[in-house]
Amino acid sequence: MRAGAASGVASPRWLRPDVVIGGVIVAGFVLCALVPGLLAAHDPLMSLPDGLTAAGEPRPPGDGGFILGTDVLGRDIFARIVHGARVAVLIAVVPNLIALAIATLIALTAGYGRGIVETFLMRMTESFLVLPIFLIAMAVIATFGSSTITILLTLAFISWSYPARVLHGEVRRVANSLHVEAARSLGAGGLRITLRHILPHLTPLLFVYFTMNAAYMVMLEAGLAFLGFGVQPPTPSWGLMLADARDQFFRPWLIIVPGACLALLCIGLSLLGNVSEADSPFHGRRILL
Amino acid sequence: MNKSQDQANLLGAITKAAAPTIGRRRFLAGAAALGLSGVLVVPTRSLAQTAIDPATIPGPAWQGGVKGGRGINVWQDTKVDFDPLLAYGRADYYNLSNFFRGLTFMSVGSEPQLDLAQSVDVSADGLTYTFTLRDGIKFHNGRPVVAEDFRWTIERANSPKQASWVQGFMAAVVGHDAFVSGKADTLAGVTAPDDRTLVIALATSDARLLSILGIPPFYVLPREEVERLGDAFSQSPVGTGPYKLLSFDSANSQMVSTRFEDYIYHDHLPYLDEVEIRWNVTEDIQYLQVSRGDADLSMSVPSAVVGKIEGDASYAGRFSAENSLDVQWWPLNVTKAPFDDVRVRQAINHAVNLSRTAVFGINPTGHLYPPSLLGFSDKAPIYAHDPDKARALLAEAGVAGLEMRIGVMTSATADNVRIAQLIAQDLETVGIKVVLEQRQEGALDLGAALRDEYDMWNMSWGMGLPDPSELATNHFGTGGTANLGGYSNPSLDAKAQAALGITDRAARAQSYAEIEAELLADAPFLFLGVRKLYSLRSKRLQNFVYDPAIWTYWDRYWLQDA
Repeated sequence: MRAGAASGVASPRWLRPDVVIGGVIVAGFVLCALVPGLLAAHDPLMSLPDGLTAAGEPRPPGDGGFILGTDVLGRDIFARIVHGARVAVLIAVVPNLIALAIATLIALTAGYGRGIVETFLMRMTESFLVLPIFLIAMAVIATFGSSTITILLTLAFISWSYPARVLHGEVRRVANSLHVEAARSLGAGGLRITLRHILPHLTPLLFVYFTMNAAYMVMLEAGLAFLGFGVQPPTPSWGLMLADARDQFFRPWLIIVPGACLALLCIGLSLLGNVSEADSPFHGRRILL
Repeated sequence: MNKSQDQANLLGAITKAAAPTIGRRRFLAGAAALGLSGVLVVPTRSLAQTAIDPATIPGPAWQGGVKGGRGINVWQDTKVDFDPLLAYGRADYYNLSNFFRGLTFMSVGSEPQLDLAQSVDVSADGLTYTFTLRDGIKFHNGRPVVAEDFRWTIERANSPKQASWVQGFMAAVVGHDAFVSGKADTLAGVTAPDDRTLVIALATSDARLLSILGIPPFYVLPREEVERLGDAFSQSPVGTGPYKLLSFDSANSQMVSTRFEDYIYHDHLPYLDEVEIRWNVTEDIQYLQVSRGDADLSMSVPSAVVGKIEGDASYAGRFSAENSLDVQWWPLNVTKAPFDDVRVRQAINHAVNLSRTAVFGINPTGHLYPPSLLGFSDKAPIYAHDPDKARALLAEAGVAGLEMRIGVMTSATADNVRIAQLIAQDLETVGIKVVLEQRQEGALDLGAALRDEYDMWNMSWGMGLPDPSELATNHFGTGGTANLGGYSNPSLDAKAQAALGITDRAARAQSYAEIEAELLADAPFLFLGVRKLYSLRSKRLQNFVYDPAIWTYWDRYWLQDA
């Protein structure tokens, strides 16, 4: 056991380079999502008078003062990337939180409740695990439309099962531990034990899943948008930008820029997830409990 | 019989049809209406099967080339069907003329010229067409072609079992309704009294007949091969065309055909020994292959490289941007307020700057008719881009804060999404808020249900028959099968019905021009234009000619280094 962790004080290793790099990347995109208007001068939706060359071609990066160039409609790519971060961050956070809330609820109910409840919930979860979630997402959006709410709920709906399965195992392990047995002996009720003595132990796992799922959600939404099932044009979305560039192989910046942003955000989220490893303050918190 | 005798016979036949009432000028106009104008020289072939005068062969100019070699044609389609009734793609439909031919043939300008028919005699009332076939026509399997083959082919194209897209084209033929509905076993109006004579009897006059017979679905087929091969006929085409099948490799998306030694014009055409068709080749790869010389012809150059090609001298003479018959427009849901108000529809047309769509492969004419179509007129009152006028019209109609839901059918091309965004930008500038929604389906797949979901959507229609009647009947005629916006104008319906019976080509063009002008004024659509057809050739491919109805004439092309 490390001294810092045992004392509950955040270890200097919290500032590990990988975690810091991940944090900076994610923070940068979150900043773009929060105040895009401060960072990008141009309207991301409108074609600009000088956005295309005289021959009607989009401008490559650096040409005409456009740092990342323009797209085939003469819109500023930098502005669309910055504003597109809002969609990416929204997708990374909202359906992710909903999915993890569903997963946690099911894992706690099944893991602590046991019996027929556990059997039912876990068989249902496993049934979801074998479904082709991408196709289901396309079918749901095709049926109910492609509004932002529909997309957020669809992404949540298709991504709760895997964390639920893993969290369930952790709940069962913690539920058999001595401190839970002690709490039960002292007369603590099921709800109190679940919320006070089991749930906190799931925090490191939840954080890992949040970061993993966030990257997954961003890629999933980009895939849906690429196929025309995600957010709809002209909303700036990196997936939509990729979709729009799919027949533009001779204008590589149209593909590289949104693709690089997607990759960078996923890498950042992944690096940030390293914070829950053994030398992180989260690890120490579990031990303190 | 020599050439002059044959010509005299045909002229006699036409004169006979026209003689009761008309003089020379009227006669010439009538001949033109039948597609038998001065450019149409009756193809002849002597009874002794000697060489045909090349000047009488239908189709575009072709003399002076080199024989031999293999031409390679690349296409984006993922599958091909070479049964003329099942060919819905580009790679198959626009190569049917390699394997099959019919009574008439579409030359450049979509003018029908007699092909396997040596002559046609039209009755004075315009209701009976008597075709005399050329002597010596053979199928690829060696069997001589007889008039019964044409009768059977036409009957097959109209049979209820086939339910073909061309079924409606021959609605004027006697007994059509009874045959199509299954009440009759044969199409009574089409008969073959002897091996070289085919008679088509019409219940009502239809000036389009020779054009209809010149489109690929009416190319003659050998019944025994179609019945023997069944579904496999699609991959084993047997016809009378200049090339016969050598190999069909569906796994590698490639087929090769070789010259047909008994082709009716075999003394002169085709030039190439072989034609290779490759499909499943994306636009980008087509561009690279043709640029490198690995293929000879691409008919779908990506719009993204058009600017580059046009600015590169090494492509000079090898690239064309032609008007196609692929009509582009955006129907409005005229059954719903405020789009039932013509002022709102006109405002939408004035609001959109069509010229911005040109970089996405559109010729933004602002018309419904393609420029090559009968009835197209430069004088038609199209809508100028005028946002102020659009705002004024909206105000006059009492419309403020309008929000439009626009469906974007993306099945054809990604350019539709880009064009939709340009339209949305322009509509927003006149105060109309727009919500776009992409759909993977085609508009016709969704049908009238589109009206439940959207106020406007994109339509694209590749005209199979180069005649405005197809648009008038299906797309803006009341209850037309593709009239998805619910537009109805009894005045236009009556004019379109009357135009069908006009045999004078100029009068017919005038009538259809008036119809389009009235349609433009009523603005049931946002009028856009036609898709441009970009073609790129290898350095060695010579004598490339194009027609929007036929696209390729592979019997006329030759290779410089053959």
